[in-house]
Amino acid sequence: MTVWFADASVLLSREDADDDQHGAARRLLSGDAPVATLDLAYYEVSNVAVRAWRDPDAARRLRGLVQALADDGGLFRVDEALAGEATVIGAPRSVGLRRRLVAGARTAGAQLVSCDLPDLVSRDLALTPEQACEAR
Amino acid sequence: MTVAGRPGLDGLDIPGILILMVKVMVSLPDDLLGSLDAEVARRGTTRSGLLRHYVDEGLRQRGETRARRVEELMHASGRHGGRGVEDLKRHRPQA
Repeated sequence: MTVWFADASVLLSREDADDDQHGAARRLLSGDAPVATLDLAYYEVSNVAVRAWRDPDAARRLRGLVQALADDGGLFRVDEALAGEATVIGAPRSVGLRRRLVAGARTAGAQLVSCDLPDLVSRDLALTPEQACEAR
Repeated sequence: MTVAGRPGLDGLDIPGILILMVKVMVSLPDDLLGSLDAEVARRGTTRSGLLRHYVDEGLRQRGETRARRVEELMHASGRHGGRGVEDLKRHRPQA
């Protein structure tokens, strides 16, 4: 059974009906396969909903979504071990969060899923939600 | 069933169930084991069979519970322009 490690972009896609990956993100998060994410997702999804979308209701829904994953045992803390793991993964650009995501998925034995095409999917570090749904 | 492509088993004729199952050791407190055995006897099954059933059922129910909760929570989701990744990067603190 594959564990899907969804980054914040997948959660935002689930909220945003305009997003190309919205339908696939919905299928992924409502499927029966286990889904995990990083604790940083709490901050990231709230930040986008409040600062970019100016939609506190969306922020509340998205925090609830992260909490639902957490209650299902799918919330990974960025602790010292994970941060240490992140430092040994080679990345073309020094983006700490991207490294933590890849390290988090690796630690969980999970497949990283993201809507970030240029930085993650095109580098074969993640699948899109649509690709993940097809792979199930 | 003849095994092919598995180191040490290649060419052997082994009953299928032995290939598909893996034996594991599970630690249980005495009282829980007692309850398990009582249920095994009541159902006329085996410890392995009952544990397989409970694990399968538990995982399936867990997934269904999460899926239902997510759907309830997100039923009022909106339209935000489809730029989630860009918004995420723009508002992400630099590491």
